[in-house]
Amino acid sequence: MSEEKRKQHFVLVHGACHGAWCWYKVKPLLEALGHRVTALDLAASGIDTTRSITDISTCEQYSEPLMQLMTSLPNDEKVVLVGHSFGGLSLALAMDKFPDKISVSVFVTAFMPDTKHSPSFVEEKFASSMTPEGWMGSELETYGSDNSGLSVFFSTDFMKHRLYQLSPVEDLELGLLLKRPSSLFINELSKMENFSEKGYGSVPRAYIVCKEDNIISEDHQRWMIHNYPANLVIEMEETDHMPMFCKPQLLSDHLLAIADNFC
Amino acid sequence: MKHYVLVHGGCHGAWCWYKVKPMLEHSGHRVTVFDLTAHGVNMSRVEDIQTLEDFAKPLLEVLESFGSDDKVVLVAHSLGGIPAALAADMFPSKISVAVFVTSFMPDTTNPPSYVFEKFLGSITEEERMDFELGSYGTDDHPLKTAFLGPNYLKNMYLLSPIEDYELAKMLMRVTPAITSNLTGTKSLTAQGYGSISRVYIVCGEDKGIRVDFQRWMIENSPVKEVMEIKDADHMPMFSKPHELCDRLLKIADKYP
Repeated sequence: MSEEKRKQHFVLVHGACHGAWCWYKVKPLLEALGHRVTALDLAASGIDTTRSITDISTCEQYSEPLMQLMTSLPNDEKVVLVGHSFGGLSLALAMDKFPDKISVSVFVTAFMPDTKHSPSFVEEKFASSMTPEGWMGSELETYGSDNSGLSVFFSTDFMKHRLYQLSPVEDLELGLLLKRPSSLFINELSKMENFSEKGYGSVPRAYIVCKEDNIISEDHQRWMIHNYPANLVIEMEETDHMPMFCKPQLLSDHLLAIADNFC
Repeated sequence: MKHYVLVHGGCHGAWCWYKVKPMLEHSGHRVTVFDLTAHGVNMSRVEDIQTLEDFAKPLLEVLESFGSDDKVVLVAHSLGGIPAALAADMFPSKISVAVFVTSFMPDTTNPPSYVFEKFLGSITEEERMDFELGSYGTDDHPLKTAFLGPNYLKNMYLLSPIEDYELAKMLMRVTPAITSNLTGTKSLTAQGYGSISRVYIVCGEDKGIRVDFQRWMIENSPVKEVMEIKDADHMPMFSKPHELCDRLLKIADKYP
């Protein structure tokens, strides 16, 4: 007699300029196996049209929908957090504040901070390698009364060549139709207190490496893992920055295996 | 090369054309899609929509931006048929043909809201499920909203891939109900809207706008041609995208 697999609650967190919609292939795959899935729009993302990114000055404000979800969970419920790209920083905020409510956090070609440097450290290293040419005409603009915010709005070419280069053309089209300006919150994160060992540091982490990622390169992903080791590392071959479009079935399979491993 | 302008339906956005747009472009055509006011990622709120022109504004701006020699194939889905008809009334010389894809299609004798109000009146309690009507506006100018709950939406997406249904659930926004308070009581004109070529594409398995209602609208306001996609649900761009593109290509060839 085999024990029935435990039903999980996956919380899916999108990356910059995207929204809950980017999980549209993954969500039904996980739900088909009986799991509960919440795909969130972070502030000023997706169809959260109550705010523009220029209204959002901190990563905590940006991550508020995730924090509200974590607050609302029953005491006995643990979730599997899944963060893509910049979503990794929202995961870290939730992990630091609600470590007891998370069975494992999965960083999908995402920024994965450590506890020894400021929260912006891994992002600053990424930004330092980005030339103006590398942004391929994406719009980077300062905002806020002190110009300390930096909004980013991906260009068509940037999305086509650096994010979605191996993904179906219709998903690139979808991304182009739904993208919105986002922010990297680098200055604000650089002034934040470090993530704590007892909070963030106590939650198991899995990292999914996307080997053909043209924006957060495999090298940078591996550097982040080396800088702050994950409990588990999984590699996705022939996968661009958008595994939820490029390899949704395989990504779902990995998420399920990770969840089973840590529950 | 033709130029298609694709208009989405209520509660939806430009995103619903994400399969059709690259297919038409792959066939060498130019395609323009956009969010109507307060839909998709358009930053307006439904409360900003006080008139049909307010709702149609992004479409009107698109057509206004084209040169006087440009002619487009205007394609409208569902509730998008009414703002599209208004646009055709205002810019008839810029439209080679208007294609109504299982769409509300006004006539030139009643207010543009007539067909939609008739549809609202025909929804049975059983069919209504979680289709929600709300209110906004003022006592002097009362307006209504409509929202498609997940069960009503599922009926519209019955033959569509489940991932497209999930996508829709994540992107639904409140739409204005197109009542005569929104449109005003004047009909569209015979010399404007009434002068353009129109084609209707019937979707045979539509559980939202049923075939008999589609047929009634065609009888009420006759078109140049009726085409059919037999096994399409309300969302042919998801349930039968190749068949929809095939018909759109044929129509563009036929109506220069």
